[in-house]
Amino acid sequence: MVLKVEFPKDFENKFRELAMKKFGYAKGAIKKASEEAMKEWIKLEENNIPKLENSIESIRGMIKHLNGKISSVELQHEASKLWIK
Amino acid sequence: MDKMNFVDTNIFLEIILDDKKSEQCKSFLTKVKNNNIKALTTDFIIYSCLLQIQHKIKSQEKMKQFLSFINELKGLKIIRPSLNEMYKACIISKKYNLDFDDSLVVAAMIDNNCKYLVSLDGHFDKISIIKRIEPN
Repeated sequence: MVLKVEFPKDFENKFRELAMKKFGYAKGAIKKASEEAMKEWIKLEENNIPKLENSIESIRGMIKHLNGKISSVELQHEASKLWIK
Repeated sequence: MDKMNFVDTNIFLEIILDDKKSEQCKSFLTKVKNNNIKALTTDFIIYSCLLQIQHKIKSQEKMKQFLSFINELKGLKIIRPSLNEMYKACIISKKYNLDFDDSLVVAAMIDNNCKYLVSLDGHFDKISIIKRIEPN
């Protein structure tokens, strides 16, 4: 299948340059780079996560027992320490 | 807030905590959900929220609910910082004396031409290249 798409010149040149740098200055480099980019995009966009009724309310107060003991900014910085553990 | 906004971890955590500004954060994210506001965040920020939910209440169900909530924010784009952005974050971390996670936010914002950071964290006010705003 052939896909025809048009991009701004600078964007296209950058894509060509990086595709050839990675896959070699030969025929097929653009195809390989396009395939890699599209596979990544499909993986990011496609999911089977179920929908929730009123999703914002469903997360509100999940850790309410900590309200008044720690702020959201403190929790954020504490999370960085959890990464290290 | 009609331009691209970067959403910091504490905006999500404020709602989870149901703290003083959770109503404002909820209102902001409702606009993102309805695609009335375009926003960016990183996968690192999502992981940080998940780690805190796991750490504080140890519930996989709640972690799944959080992911369903994120999935429904139609105006939110989740980016994965590149090695280049992580490298820049190290430079920013030293230059502004910021933690790596905050520096990664700044690096991701620069690379994605995003000027506005929606955050409750005043640490960012010393970074002149971005503008911190609070949801209202």
